Amino acid sequence: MKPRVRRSGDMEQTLAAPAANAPDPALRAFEALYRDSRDDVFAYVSGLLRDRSAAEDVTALAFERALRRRRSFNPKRGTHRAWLFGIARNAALDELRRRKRQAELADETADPEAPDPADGAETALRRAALRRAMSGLAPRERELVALKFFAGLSNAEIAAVIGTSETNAGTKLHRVIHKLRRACDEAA
Amino acid sequence: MRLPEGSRKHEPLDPEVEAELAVIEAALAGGPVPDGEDELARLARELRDERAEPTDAFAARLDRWAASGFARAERPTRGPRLESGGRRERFGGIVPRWAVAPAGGLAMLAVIVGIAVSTSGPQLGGGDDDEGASIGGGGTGIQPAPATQEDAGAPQAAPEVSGNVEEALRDADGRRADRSSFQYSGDTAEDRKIVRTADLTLVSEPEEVREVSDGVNEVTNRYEGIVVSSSVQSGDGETSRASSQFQLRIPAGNLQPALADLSELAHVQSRTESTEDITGQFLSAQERIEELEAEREGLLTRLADAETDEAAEVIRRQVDAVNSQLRATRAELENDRQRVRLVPVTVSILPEEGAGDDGDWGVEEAAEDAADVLTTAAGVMLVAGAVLLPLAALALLVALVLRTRTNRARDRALDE
Repeated sequence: MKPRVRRSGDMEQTLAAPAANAPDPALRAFEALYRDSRDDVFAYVSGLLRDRSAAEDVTALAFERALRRRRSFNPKRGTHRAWLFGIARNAALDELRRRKRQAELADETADPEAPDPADGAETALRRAALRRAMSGLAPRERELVALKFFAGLSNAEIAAVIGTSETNAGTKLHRVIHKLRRACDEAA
Repeated sequence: MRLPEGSRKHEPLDPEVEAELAVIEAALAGGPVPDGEDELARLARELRDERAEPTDAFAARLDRWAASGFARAERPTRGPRLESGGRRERFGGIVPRWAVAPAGGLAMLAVIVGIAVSTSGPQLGGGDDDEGASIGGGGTGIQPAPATQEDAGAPQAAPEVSGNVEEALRDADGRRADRSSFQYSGDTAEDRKIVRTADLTLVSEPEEVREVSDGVNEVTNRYEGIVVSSSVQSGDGETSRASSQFQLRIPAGNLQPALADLSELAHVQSRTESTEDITGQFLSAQERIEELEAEREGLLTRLADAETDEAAEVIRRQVDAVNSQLRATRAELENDRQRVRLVPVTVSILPEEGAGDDGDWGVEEAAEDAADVLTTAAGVMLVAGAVLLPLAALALLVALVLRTRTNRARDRALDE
């Protein structure tokens, strides 16, 4: 089993110089948000698009947009992370729209990952079954999984990102989990 | 559509759902889970393990980009995928964001200037032929009286300004009254005889009244008119009270261009033109003349046949009476003819109100000027607002529609 995923809080070098010279409070807050959310945003976008290359571009674009709009953040409307993931969501959806307009057959299958040598046979089978189940999810369902399990957002934050109530978000998430459980159980 | 923050929490979750979500939260946090929920917890952790991590290379590039302040030129990757930002991103690449506001302002200014130019019209200081003109009277329309056959070939010399109007009129006409002189070129009994008058009031700077007066004389001469009378008032040596008035006679065919040129001399305060159709009166006079001439012919025949001196004397007296009536009627007809041919034009020149009486500019005048400037500025702002507000409202509406469309399109992107 892989170790628990860490948040992107271990960056040692990046924004020290700009932070020290940036009197803008909004910029300082954004820098902190970047440090905290870089890997989470990538994980979410990657889970939604299922294309690592596209995820890199969209992640960069999302942070660029968020930087430009950093002063538009309103704490009354949600957390800073929810705000950032809302921007990332729009950037990812724009990418999906672009794919549809260009009639590209996007890489609908996840980037293959080499099986972890540390996994046992059972674990490998479960993992394969889980991936097959995830590949069968609708994009909206896949998005919920990505927001909850890849980005680590709370139910309230997920509700803010997708524009629904917390109860509705929890209910939808529950349905997706059950769908995956059934798929994994059937595969087993 | 995002719901308000306060409305998101208060709907109750199904207890079973709530319980399972709590198990997931506990599993992801690494805490203990209730008995019987191990499978669910395991699933949650396995899902989390499926999270993709950025490569070290991409992470490093992103960090360098962040360190540069996310400069566009320092983007970690470039390529067609970057245009997945949509129209806004592509547009931002064409027109820098810092240029959007000035460009929009210039566009708005161009719209305002275009509207101002199109609505101002040719409102020059002197006005034009039709500005402020009012037409009165019962005439059929303002048409220049047709020239006579005698006048058509002979250019009329501009008469000298003279106090003897009758002599000047006779000189301008140069004909004896007879039947043929009352016939115009191509004239028929049905041609209308329109008498017109015009009044023009000009306003100028007090010190320019005399110059404008000279201009009136010059225009009158140019259009072969006559200055019947003129008066210039100097106002006891104070130019602010200077004024002048002219009584002109302008050939009907030159009336409109003459009025146009007179209007150019100064600011036109008012311009009035009136008409009177005297065709009936004119024809009646002609018929009366014919009747009198026929009666005189008859009397002259009877005179030739008179057998006695007494009878002849009686007939001579009758002929004299008829001749007297004939002269009067012909004079009346000639006068009507002149009224049609030469239009009376009254030109008044008044000093501009509020011109500095003493030529000094003091605090009071400065305050008046400041008030004028502020009034003008307020008017400009009001007009600009009247133009900009609807445009802004329209732009806002368009932006809202586009935003709604974009949001819906994004939402549809998740639909397979």
